[in-house]
Amino acid sequence: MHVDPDLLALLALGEQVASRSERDHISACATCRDELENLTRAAAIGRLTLDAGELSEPAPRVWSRITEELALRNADPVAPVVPLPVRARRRWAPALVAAAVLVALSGGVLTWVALRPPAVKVLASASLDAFPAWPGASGTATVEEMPDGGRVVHVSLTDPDAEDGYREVWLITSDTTKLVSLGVVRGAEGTFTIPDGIDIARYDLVDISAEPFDGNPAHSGDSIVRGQLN
Amino acid sequence: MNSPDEDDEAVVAAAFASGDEHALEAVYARWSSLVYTLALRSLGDVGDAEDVTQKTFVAAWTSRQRFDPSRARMSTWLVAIARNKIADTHEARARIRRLHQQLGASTSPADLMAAEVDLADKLLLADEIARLEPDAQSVVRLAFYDDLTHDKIAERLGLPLGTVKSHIRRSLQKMRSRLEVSLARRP
Repeated sequence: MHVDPDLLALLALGEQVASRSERDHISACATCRDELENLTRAAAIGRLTLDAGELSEPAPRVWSRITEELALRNADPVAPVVPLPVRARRRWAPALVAAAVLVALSGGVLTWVALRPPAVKVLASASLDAFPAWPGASGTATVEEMPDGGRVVHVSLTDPDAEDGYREVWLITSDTTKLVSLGVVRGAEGTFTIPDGIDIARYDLVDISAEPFDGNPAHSGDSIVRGQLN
Repeated sequence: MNSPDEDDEAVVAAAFASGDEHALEAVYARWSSLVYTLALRSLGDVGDAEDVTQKTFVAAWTSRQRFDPSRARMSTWLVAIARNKIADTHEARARIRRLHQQLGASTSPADLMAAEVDLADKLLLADEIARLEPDAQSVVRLAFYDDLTHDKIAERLGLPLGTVKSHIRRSLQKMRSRLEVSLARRP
């Protein structure tokens, strides 16, 4: 039988409320001791909040810059998130309502379901594995069908940064006889449109290659990661 | 055994991780003041603090596939990213100082960040306390700031002893889980 959690909390505040047998249990029980340590730390830091002061809200322009930088599909780039006073924000609900109001203002509707991006159907996905020359690299690819029927592939890549050259995304047939370039990926991720005539059941390999600046549009043969869509 | 707050937070965190842009708005509405205040107090400059806030949320969004809601709270993840961005800014400033003033020894970013750890934890808990329900908040304030024992608090507020004890326990547990050890990796 562990010590009553209420009692542990009081002990964490420094109250001398434990009986001899409770003290003995705590010193013998790792679970109770850990919990007491963690609560004591929380209480110690909690006491320091006396002079923490109020949090400051960033100016609305910060949110505008974020939506611009990310080119968010559904956000209105000029409408800032309505800042709510800290003390009034006790739950997620008000924040979501604020987001909903924002959407309503920009012509949307007021339900959480409607807050989600337009239904995007995932057609296939792949995890991308490193080639031997690129130890530690990895990635993912997800093929999605957009509401307008078009298809995109979203890729992400973690790898040691290519010093010179660039990285290109390809779809390749499983017998590796045909390939199509989807574009250049900068940074850790990118989204690319899949040309209409391409059947992803045939072009089922997603490949990201390291390409030198040599003016040659063909695949360099230096693949960083590759994976099969399914 | 999660509180409703934690459940709501988990729903938004999951939506965020799955790429729901409106979850990003909700996350920004909930945590931007914490990130901004942390940056502002550390850097002492509105422009730099705004840059850090922008970079933090942009990085959180673009690396969301590496955010695992089962391993870290959203607040922990964001604070970890913000600390990196703040450290980067300190480092850039130190570099400029070294160049321009040819300082022999400059403070390393790690030293500059040592003070940040406590500040981030303090701000997280200040925020958590501000969000407690009114009774729980009064109890916690009397316990923390006035150093009253639980029986004195019960007397002062006219609440049953058991109620005061459970407010203390639940509030401390919330704070403890807010301070969870960060498992978030550098984004």
